[in-house]
Amino acid sequence: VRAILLPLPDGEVALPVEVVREVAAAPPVTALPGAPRAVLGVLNLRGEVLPVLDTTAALGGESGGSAAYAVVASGGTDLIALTASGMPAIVDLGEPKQPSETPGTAGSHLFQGRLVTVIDLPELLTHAGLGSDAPPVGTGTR
Amino acid sequence: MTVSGSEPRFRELFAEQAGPELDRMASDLLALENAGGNGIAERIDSLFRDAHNLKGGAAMVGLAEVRALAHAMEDLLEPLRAGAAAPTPEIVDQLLAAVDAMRELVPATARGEPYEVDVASMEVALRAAIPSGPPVPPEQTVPPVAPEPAGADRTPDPTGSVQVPLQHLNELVRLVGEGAGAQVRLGQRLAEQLHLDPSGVAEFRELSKVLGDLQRRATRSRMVPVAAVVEVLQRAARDLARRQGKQVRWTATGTGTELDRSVLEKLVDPLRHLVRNAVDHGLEPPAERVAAGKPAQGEIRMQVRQAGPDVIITIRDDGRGVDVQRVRAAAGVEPGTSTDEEVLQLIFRTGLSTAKEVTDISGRGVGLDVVRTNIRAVRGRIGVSSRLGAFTEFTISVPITLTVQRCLLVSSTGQRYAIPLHTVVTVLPSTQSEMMSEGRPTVWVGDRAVPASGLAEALDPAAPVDSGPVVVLAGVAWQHAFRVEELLGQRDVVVRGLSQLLPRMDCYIGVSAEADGSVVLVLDTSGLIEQARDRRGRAWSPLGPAVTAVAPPASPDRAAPHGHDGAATVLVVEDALTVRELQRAILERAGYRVLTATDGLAALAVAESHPVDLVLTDVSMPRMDGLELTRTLRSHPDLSGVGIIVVTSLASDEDRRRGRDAGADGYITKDQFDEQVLVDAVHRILGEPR
Repeated sequence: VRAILLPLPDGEVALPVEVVREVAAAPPVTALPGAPRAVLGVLNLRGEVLPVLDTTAALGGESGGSAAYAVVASGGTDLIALTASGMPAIVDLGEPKQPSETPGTAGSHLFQGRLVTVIDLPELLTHAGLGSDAPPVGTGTR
Repeated sequence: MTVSGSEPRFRELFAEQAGPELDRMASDLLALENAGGNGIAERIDSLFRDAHNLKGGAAMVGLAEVRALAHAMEDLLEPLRAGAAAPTPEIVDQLLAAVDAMRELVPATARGEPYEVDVASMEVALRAAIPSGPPVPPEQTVPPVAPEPAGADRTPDPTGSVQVPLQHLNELVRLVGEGAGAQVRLGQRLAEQLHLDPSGVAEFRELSKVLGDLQRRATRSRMVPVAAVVEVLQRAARDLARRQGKQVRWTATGTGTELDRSVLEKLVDPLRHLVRNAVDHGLEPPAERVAAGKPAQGEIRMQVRQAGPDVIITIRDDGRGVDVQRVRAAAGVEPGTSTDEEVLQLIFRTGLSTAKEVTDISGRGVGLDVVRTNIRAVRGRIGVSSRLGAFTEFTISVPITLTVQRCLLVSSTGQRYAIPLHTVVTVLPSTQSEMMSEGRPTVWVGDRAVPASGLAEALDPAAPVDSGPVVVLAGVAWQHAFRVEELLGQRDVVVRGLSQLLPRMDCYIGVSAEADGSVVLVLDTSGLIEQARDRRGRAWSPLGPAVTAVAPPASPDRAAPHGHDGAATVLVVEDALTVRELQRAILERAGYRVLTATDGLAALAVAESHPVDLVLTDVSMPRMDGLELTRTLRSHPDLSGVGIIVVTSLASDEDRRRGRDAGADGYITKDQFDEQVLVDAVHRILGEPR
C-alpha cells in the first residue's frame, strides 16, 4: 500500500496516497471559533480556503495546537488539510497486520518494524463532526 | 447532403428562440390588463407577431403540435388585432394558459421528450374564446392606470446576447479573483527579490488595471434586473385575484435595478408569497372596498430601488391592513408591554396566524416565517408596516451581491473579522462603558438600551475579553453591541462560502481569501446576534423592526458622554462611518474628548444635552445638513458661541462663501484633509489640549 506518512507528536499515521494532493510547509492557519474541536482552523491555499483538521485531535488525542505541515487531501466534495508535526514522506506499507480500533482508521500496517495505522478519511471526517451530513454548529434556532 | 429543419440542432435553436418570445407574450398579456387604453394596440400587435413567428418557426422545424397551438392563439388574437373585440380577462386567461402550455410543449417536442399538454383540448378552448359579438369597451375589462414608462416591464431584447450557465460565470469570477491574488503576490516578489517598487513598473501597473477592470466586469456579468421576475409576481397576483373575484391593479417601478442572479433567484418564492398574501389577506372584495369608500379595484405596488450596497424592495397593498390587536392576542403579548410596531413584526413568527379561515392560500400560520428564513438565506432583512383599513407594506432589504460585500473590518483577540457594513448601526468608542440590566451588560445607543457582548466571547466562550470600541449591529430581528479589539477600516470583501466539509455555522457568511495568503472570517450578523443572545440567555424583548436600522439612527450615536475633566470636547458630525471614526481617532489621539452624531439633527440633540466646545461637521447629510446645522447653532440661545469647522468635499469658492456666511469658523476640504491639517485647525480655535 503506497501512502503518505504523517508524523504526529505522539506517533505517526498514514494516508492512502490516492487521496493526497500536496503538502504545505508551515501554513498560516486562521482559527475558526465555533468549529468542531478537531478543526484547527482554515487555510488559504492559493485562494482556496480549506478546513485544517487537527489530525491528533480527530483521532481522539489531545489537540496538537499548530501545524508544522499540512497534508492536503480530497475529502470527497472539497479539499481538506490534515496537520503533521514533521515532514510527511511517501512510503510503501506492507499488508495490513491487524484491524485498528480507533474510529476513522482502516487497519494497521507493518512499516520498518513498527505498526502504522492508516486513516480512512471519510470515516475520520464523520467521526470528527465534518462532512456533508454534519449537524449544524451554533444556536440551531435559525 | 441536405439540411432538414427537423435536425436536432435546428429544433434546439427554435426552442432557445421561443423562450424569450413566450416571455414577451406573457408580459404583453399581463400588461394588457394593466394598460387600460394605453398601448393596447401595440401590445396586441406584438402578441400576434410572436404567435405568428412561433407558428412559422414550428412549421419550419416540423413541430406540428406547437404549430397547431400557435395557430389557435393567432386565431384568437386576430379579432383583437382587428379591433373587433377587446381583451377580456377570459381571453387573457386562455392566452396565458396557452403560453404556459407552450413553455412545456416547445422544449419537450424539440428534444423528443414526453409532455403532458393536451394540445387538442387547448386548441378547442382557444377557439371557443373567440368573441363573436361587438367589441367590449376597455373600461368593462380593467380600469385604466397610468402607463409604465415604455419598455419598463418588457423582457430585454435578446438580440446580441447569449445564455451562459451560471456556473461558468461563477468560475469566471473565481478565476478573476485568483488572478488578482496572483498579481499581488507578484508585486510582493518584485519588491522582495528585485527590490523594485511594483507601482513603478509600467507592465505591473497595466496588469493591475486590466485585472481591476476584469474583476468589475466579471462581477457585473452575474447581475440581472429585477424585471426578470416581475412577470411571475404579476401573474401570481392576477391569477389569484381572478380566482377570488377580486380586482387588482399591479404597478412595478424601479424594476431595472440589478441584483446578483443568485440573490434574485432566491427571492422569487418569498416575493411570490408576499404578493399572494397581499391578494388573499390584504385586498378586500370589490363590494367591501366600495362600502369602505375605496375604489373597487385594489392596488399592489412593487417598488425597487438601490440604496448603497443593498436593494430595497417593497410590496404594498391598499387593502385592509393588519389588525395589530389580533396579532397581539394571537401571540399572547400582554397589553402595554410592546409597541404596535414591535407587535407587528411578530407576524413573521412561526405558527402565528390571525386568519379567520384556513384556505389553500394562507391562514395556517406558515408562510411569513418561511419568507423571513428565505430572505435571511440571502443575507437580507424584512420588515412590515401597516395601518388598519389602509395598507400593508413589506420592505425587503438584500445585498446586491453575495460575492462582493462592503465590510467593516475589525480585530478581536488578534484575529481579523469582516462585518457586512449594511448591518453596522454605529460604532461607540472604547471608553464607552457597559451598564448592567437584568444582570447582563447593556450599552446605550441613542435613547435605546442594546444588549452587549464581547465579539470574542460571542464566538467562543473561552476567549479572552476585548477592550476596544463597541460595534452596534442590526440583525434581522435584533440589535446587539459587540466590543472588539480594534477597528481596521472598511473595504469590499470577496466572500466565499465555507467548505462544504464543515458543519453549518450560523455566525459566518463565509471567508475571504486575502491576497497575502491570509484568511478573514466574514460574520453573519443575524447568526452572530442569535448566538450572542443564546449565550446571554434568551430573556430579552424585541428592540423593534430590523428595517428601521436601514435608516440612520434618529438620535445621537453616543448618548453617554465622557466625563468633563477639563479637556475640550469636539462633536464630530458625519454620516459616513469611516470618516467619522477617522476624525474621532485623530482628535482623541490629539487629546480631545469626542462625541459623534450622524446628521445635523442628531448633532443638535447632542449639543443641547452635553457640553460641546467645537463642532466639526460635514455638509451633505440626511435630515439636516451641515450648513443648516451651523446656522441653527449660531442662532441658538445657548450654543451660538460654539466653534464650528466645516469638513467637506465641496471645494469651490462659492461653497466656502456659503460655509462662512452660515457662520463657520473654519473650512477644511476633504481633498486637503490629513491629520495635521485637522489638528491644526482645531488647535487654532480651541488651543492645544491640556
